[in-house]
Amino acid sequence: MNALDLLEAIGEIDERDVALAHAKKSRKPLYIALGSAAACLVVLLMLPGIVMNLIGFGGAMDGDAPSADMAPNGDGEMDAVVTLDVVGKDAAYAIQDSATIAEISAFLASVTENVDGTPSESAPSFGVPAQGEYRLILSDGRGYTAEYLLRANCLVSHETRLEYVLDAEQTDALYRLLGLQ
Amino acid sequence: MDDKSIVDLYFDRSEQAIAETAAKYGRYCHTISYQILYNDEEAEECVNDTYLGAWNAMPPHRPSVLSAFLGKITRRLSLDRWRRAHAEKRGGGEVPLALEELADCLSGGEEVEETVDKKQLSLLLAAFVRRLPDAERRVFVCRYFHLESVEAVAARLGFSVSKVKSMLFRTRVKLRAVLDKEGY
Repeated sequence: MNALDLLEAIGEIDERDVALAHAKKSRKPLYIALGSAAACLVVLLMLPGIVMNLIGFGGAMDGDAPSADMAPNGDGEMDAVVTLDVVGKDAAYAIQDSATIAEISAFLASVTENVDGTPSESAPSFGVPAQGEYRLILSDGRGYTAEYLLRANCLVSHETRLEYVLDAEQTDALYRLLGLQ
Repeated sequence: MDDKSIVDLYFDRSEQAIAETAAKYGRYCHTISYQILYNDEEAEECVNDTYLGAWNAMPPHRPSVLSAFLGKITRRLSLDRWRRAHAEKRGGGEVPLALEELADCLSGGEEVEETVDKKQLSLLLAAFVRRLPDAERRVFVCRYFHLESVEAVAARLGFSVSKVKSMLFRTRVKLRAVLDKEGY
């Protein structure tokens, strides 16, 4: 076998994987009807089921729990899981404690104004399940900027960029929630 | 027009299917072909052949994702053309670079004339790609299915170039392990 055989064989991968990997940005939200309080609770917990790729913070993390990722159901859609995966350069762990995840989500939702007074980018509504990537840009009060990649375990292709400029206190609070301090 | 309606046109043997396909996915297919051939004219010919291939395949085949189905035809036709044109020499474009990278995944043993069970290899790769974490899968598919440059993949997915290179390297190491295990 040579490399061209391999390259040609890659051309036969599943069409759904091809489409998903090359999906364009979509701003179209998908609203789903929910008929019970229990279902509402599941959706409220969807957005926090995120993957955080903490570029440059690998050394600060510990723990080795494997991430509980989303899994396609029979319709090719993704079943939501309530997990916050934290992936760094050298380590990865997963937060599956609902209370902690809810705290982190509430924190992000609470930051409506950057330290310079400009409105922060608001996170997508928790009622709008969305699969996709969110770039979260955090600048702390000490001139340090970090980029996070959040990936929601939900249904709709959706990408957006969230920008927060946090003061030192807010930064410390978030890092504590993430277990980085 | 939505994909289902376009596919229905193929099943109805309406030539309008070609026009609708060209309008919706002509550019997408052209991009795939151009990434391989680096030649507009040849890419356009491959795209036209793609429509013919789709016409011959539907019916009976009903693709699960029309864009990917067309992309696969275009890619296959373009690689065939590339292989013929570069039987003796390697040219520019992303294919030589991708081949060089993918050579890492193959054992460096003696060149032995062997018949590759392509169907089996395709199944193995499909399973391998399916098992990759989402971000790695997207990077791998963009690079080695769509043959986008590393820079283009980084821009598309919002990663740095070095991160994309690192992810690709790790994925190739995993792939090599899988291929080794299966005797490729």
